[in-house]
Amino acid sequence: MALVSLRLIKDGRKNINIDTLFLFLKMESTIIDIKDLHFKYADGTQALRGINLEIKKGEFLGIVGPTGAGKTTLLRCIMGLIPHSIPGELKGDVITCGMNTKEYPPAYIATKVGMVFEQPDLQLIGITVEDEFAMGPENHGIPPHEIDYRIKWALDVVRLAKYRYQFPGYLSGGQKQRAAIGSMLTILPEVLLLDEVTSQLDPIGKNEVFSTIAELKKRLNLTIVMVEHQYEMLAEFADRIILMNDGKIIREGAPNMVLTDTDLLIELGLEPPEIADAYRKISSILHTSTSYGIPITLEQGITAFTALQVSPKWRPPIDLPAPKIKPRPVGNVIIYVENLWFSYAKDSEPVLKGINLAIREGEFVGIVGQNGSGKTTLVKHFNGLLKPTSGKVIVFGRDTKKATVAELSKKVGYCFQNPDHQLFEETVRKELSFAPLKLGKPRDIVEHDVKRALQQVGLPLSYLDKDPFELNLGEKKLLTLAIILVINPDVIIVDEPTTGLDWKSISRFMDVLINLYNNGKTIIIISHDMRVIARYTTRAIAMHEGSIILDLPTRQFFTKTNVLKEAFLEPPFITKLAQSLKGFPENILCVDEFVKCVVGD
Amino acid sequence: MALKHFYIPGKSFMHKLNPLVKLVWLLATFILVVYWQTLTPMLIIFMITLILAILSRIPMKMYIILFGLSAFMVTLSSVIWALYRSEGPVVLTVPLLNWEFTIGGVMFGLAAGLRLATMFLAGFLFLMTTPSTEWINALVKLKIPYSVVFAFSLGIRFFPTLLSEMMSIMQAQMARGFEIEKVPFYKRAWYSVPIIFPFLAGAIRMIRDITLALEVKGFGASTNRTYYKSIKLNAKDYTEIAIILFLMVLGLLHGR
Repeated sequence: MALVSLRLIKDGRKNINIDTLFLFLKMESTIIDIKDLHFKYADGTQALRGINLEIKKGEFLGIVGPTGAGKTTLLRCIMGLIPHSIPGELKGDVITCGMNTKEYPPAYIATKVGMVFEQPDLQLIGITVEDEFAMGPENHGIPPHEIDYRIKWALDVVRLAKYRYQFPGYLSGGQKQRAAIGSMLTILPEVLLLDEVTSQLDPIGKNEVFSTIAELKKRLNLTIVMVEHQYEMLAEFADRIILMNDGKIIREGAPNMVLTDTDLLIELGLEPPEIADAYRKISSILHTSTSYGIPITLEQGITAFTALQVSPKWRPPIDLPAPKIKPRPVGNVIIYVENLWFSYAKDSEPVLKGINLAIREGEFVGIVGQNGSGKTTLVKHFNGLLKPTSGKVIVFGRDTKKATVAELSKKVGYCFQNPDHQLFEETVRKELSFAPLKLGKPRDIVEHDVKRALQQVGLPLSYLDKDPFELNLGEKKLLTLAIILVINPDVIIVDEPTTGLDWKSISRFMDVLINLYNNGKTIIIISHDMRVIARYTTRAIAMHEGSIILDLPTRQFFTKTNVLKEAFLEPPFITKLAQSLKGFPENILCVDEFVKCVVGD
Repeated sequence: MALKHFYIPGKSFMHKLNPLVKLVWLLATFILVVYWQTLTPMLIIFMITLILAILSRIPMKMYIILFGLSAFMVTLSSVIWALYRSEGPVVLTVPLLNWEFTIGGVMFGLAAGLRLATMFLAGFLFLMTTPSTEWINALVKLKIPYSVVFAFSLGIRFFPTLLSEMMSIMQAQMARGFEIEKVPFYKRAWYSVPIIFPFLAGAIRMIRDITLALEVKGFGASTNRTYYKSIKLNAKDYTEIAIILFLMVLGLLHGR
């Protein structure tokens, strides 16, 4: 394609629209052909076991499946990164755009195929956005005047023209991923591979990226292969879904066929789309037919439930707790924040602007807000990692300005987002006992505390001698929680407990937190996942641009849709569905409540 | 985080110079101060650099930092060198410590200090008036291999990322509840393991991810790599380069 556009430019038709070139090239032919593909990583993990897959030109293929199913490995094989850059044992054939990946290294395949990764920061390697966009074509030897033309066009497609000369590190998460997509467009690819590109983003970032992908599909008709956990999004755009498990494709078909098999998804440890789940449960109780298809997206849900002509038979009382928690009576104020202002440097814009807040013993608080709204900055004040620029933070009666982090940590434990920032020892035992031993606690007491902490997070004692780096991400997160629990604090703060985890691991982690809560801890979590907030917390707080804009019991929190919109937040899908149906209660928090609402007790 | 980015946008004489001309000027300055040993020429080139700094009209705060640090370097160096070198008559004695400062020693120390200060000032002046993309292009123009130049640019790109990574790790370990402040100084090195290890492990993961990103961008695909933004030199730039090189040669011949 590069050659075609080049020729057109040489002919003097400089104003030819690149969009039309993509349409020219749309044909109903196979562009990716995978035959009996097996792959084993060098460490012995058998990632793929006999994949057969044909992808047509212009097709939008969604890949779903639990962690470790081989989704990312499959994309790497299509790109040729396997076997060229990532060692292992490959059997079978992958033909990408007519090139057998065994013979062509990724640098050549990259002339036809673009790939965007999960981590927003690490794939932007240029010093400016423009650099980033130029890099691909430069490496392929495209002449500068043509590169210039392509950059302008790609910046327009991903709507980043304003940021052309910006340093990539300063962009927001959503902008970074859009820049990464745009930098692939400048090679005029035929195929775009997207590997969980939204999983690290906040809700607004996710929406930005989805709308960009919608634009790609509508405008360019690119062949897109996307690994994604947001099923509602796939249901809207994908032509076909493959469901993978254990290195095999176990289900294949239209989105509304594959993604609505709720029993199968649950069996695999995946969370079924809420609206489909509700529809299935209701049809089986009311004995209505599902043969007209099961809804997934909000629009489909509204249409389907309107057609069912249902009316609400039950309304959640205003003081009903969130579905997964039995709140205990709240006690004294343990964290008190008064007119807190904070900025990182003297002359920089304040990150927190006059926060007033009181957290009581016995609460389970969820803090939400887009990246940069000040959530993490706020909670870092609760154990003294940050001290107020002005205002007061009182923790268990002590002014944090007059206490050290170590002293406060005995009362307030803080579990960081990325476990890899903490783990460094050879065994789980050493990892857990490091801090208390250094604090001078006797060895036998430490050993006892370590075992207790490990049990509290539900990891078996046999893990004591394991290498922390052998654990999977979900277990590593539990381990970092155990590190905090060894000190036995009264308050536990967890920053983003769910990022990067699949539903099974999320449920496991949240159940551990609920268990700790039931045993007398006060919990504060920061999360982008509204479903987690809706199901597990007693109180939810929304932050926006350094201020608290909403602070209510969880049941009432999600009814304030207008305020949430201001902070670019949205209630879970099932709540939105109830809010969109005439006469339905606004304060539904989970699928079972919705089902109860439709069918009665 | 003042270190994040050196470049300060502006429209001064220094900002407007072609980056390649600036690079030649920087190299010439470095060569001269390294070659020269005596005070007088060193003083002259320091004054020239100082004048260029003033011409570049960067914010007052930066001037205070730059000039303050230069003055500190000069003072420190002249005291230290003067202690070790004795040449010529003694000009000052510090009675209790039994220190003697000689004219030759002080002169040599001043020259060494000025050398350091000139290099420091010129280097920062260059970085502050040239966007990093431009000096990278200038290096390419000088026929430095692209892989070397690219390594520089990766360093610039990921320096802030590594810095913030380091900060997160330190905070995460502090939140475990042990205080590095209370550890005796001679034991500190051992206590930095919890910070260094996760940092290195993270850096290795980072490199692996970046490598994949490079592959996908087609590094090494074509032997005829093109450059989207290349530096073009006009007559004025050539003249400026010629003048700088002429002055440098003059300096090399007569300055010692």
